[in-house]
Amino acid sequence: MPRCIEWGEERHQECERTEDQGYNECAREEDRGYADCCTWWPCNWLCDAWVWISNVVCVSWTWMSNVVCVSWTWISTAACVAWDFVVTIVSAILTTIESILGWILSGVAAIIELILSIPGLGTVLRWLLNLVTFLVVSMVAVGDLILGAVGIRPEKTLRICPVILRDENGEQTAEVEGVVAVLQLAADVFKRDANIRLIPSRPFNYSTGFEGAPQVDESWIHIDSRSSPTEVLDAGDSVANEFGIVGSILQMKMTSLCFYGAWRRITGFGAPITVFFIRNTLPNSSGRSLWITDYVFVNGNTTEIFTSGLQRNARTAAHEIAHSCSLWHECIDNDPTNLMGVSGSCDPVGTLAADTDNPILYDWQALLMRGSKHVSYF
Amino acid sequence: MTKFETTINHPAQLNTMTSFSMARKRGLGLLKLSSEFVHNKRGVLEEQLNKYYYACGCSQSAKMLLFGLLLGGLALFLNNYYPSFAIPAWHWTVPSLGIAGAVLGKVYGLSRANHKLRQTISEIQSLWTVSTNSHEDVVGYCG
Repeated sequence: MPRCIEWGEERHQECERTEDQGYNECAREEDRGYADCCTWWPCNWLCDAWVWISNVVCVSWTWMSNVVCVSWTWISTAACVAWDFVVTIVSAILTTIESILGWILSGVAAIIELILSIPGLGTVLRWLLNLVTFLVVSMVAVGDLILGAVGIRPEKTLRICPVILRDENGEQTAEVEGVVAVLQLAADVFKRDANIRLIPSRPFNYSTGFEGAPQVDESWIHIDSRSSPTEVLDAGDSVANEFGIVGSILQMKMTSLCFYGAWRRITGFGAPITVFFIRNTLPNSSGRSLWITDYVFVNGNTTEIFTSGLQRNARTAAHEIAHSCSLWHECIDNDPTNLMGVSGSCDPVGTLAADTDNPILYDWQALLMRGSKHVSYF
Repeated sequence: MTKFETTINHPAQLNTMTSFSMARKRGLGLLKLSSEFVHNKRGVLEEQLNKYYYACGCSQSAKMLLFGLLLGGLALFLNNYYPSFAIPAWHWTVPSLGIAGAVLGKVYGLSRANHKLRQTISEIQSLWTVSTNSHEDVVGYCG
C-alpha cells in the first residue's frame, strides 16, 4: 500500500482515538460536575444547568475537532497521493533522460572530482562546494519542510553506492549477504518513517511512491576489484584522513566505482552517498561519518550474521547514512529504539543497549532527512 | 482498515512521550505494554497511558469557551448600559473572548494530561525492571 495512504489511515485512527478520549473526558467531567454540585436551591439548579451546558459544548467541540482532524487528514493524503502520481510520471521521464545523457554530465563532473581529490587543496575545495550546496538545498527545502510538518510527505529518493573494499590480501571486508541485510534495514526504516525510498545510484532505475519499501539485492553492491591500503581499511580520525592521502584515495574510488551520479555530487542535487564497508573504524566504533563528505564508513564486521539470524549491528549503515543527511546523536537512555541513539551522548554515559534490529526515526528526524541535499524528488 | 498498535518493549521508550499532538510521534496507534512487564497494575497503567497520550483537552476547552462567552456577554452588557465601561471594537468582544477561552482551556487540558502522562510513565518505569540483553558487542559510538 502506498505510504501516503497508510499514513492517512494512521492519522485517521489517531483522530478517532482522540475523539473517543474527548467524549470520555466530557462524560467524566459531566459525572464529576453533577456529583460536586451544591444541594440547595437555586444553587443546584444553576449548577446542573452549567454542567449540562458544559457537556453539550464539550461534546460539540469534540465532534468539531474530529471533523477538522479528519478533513485535514483527507486533504493532506490527497495532496500526497496526487504529488506521488505527478512525481512518478515526471521521474520516469527524467530518469530515462538522465540514464542516456547523465554519463556525459558525470564525465565532466568526474574531471572536476579528480581536481577535488588532490590532498589538502582538493579537500578544502570539496568541503566548500559541499557546504555551499548544502546551504542552497536547505533554503530550497524549507517549503517542503513546512508541508512535511503538517503531514504532507510524498515519497522522496535517496541514492546510495555501497562499496565493499578488499584488504591487503584481496579478501573482502564484508560479505555480500550481510551488506544486503543491513541496507534492507536502512531501506525499510527510511521508507516507513520518512517516506524516503533508498535506491542504488545507477541508470534506468525506475521507482514510484505507490510501491512499498524497495528490495535490496546484491546488484546494488560494488566490490572493489583492487586491494586497498591499510590506512584506508583502518581509517581512524576522519578529519585528518580527509586532508591526507586517505581522503584522496577515497575520493578517487568514489569517482571510479560510483561514476554514475557524479554530476549529482557536484551539483548537490540528490547527491548519492557512497557507503564504504571497511575493516575497522575507531576502537569501540561500528561506523564513521563526516557530515561534509559524500561518503560514510561502516565496519565490515557489523554485517556479520549470527546463527540466530540476527546481525552484529544491523543498524550501523542506516545510522551513518542518516548522519550524512544531517542527523545527530541522541542519548540512548532516552529511547533505545531511536536510530541515532548512542551511549556517548548521555551524561555521563548511557546505560542501555541500542535496539539495533528495530530502529525508528522521530518525526523531526524524518523531516530533517527529507530536507537533506542527498534526498530529492527527482 | 488495518488497526495500528505499538508494543512498548522497554520502559525507556516512554521517555520521549508527550500529550501535545505536534510534538508526539505519529502513527503509534494503540499503546500496549510488553508482556515482559509483569505486574497486577499493568492493565490499569496501559489504559492510563492511552488515555493521557491521546487526551483531547476538549472538556476544559469547552468550559473555558463558555466562560469566555459569558465574560464577553458581561463586557457587552457593561458597554451598552454603562458608558464609562466603553470598549473599542466591542462587537468582537464575545467571539474573541470565547476563542481565547477555548484555546487557553485546550492548552490547560493538554498540559494537565501531559503532567498525568509523565506521572503514569514514572510509575511504569519504577515498577518495570529489565535486564539489558543485547547481542551487540561493539558499542555504538561513531564519529
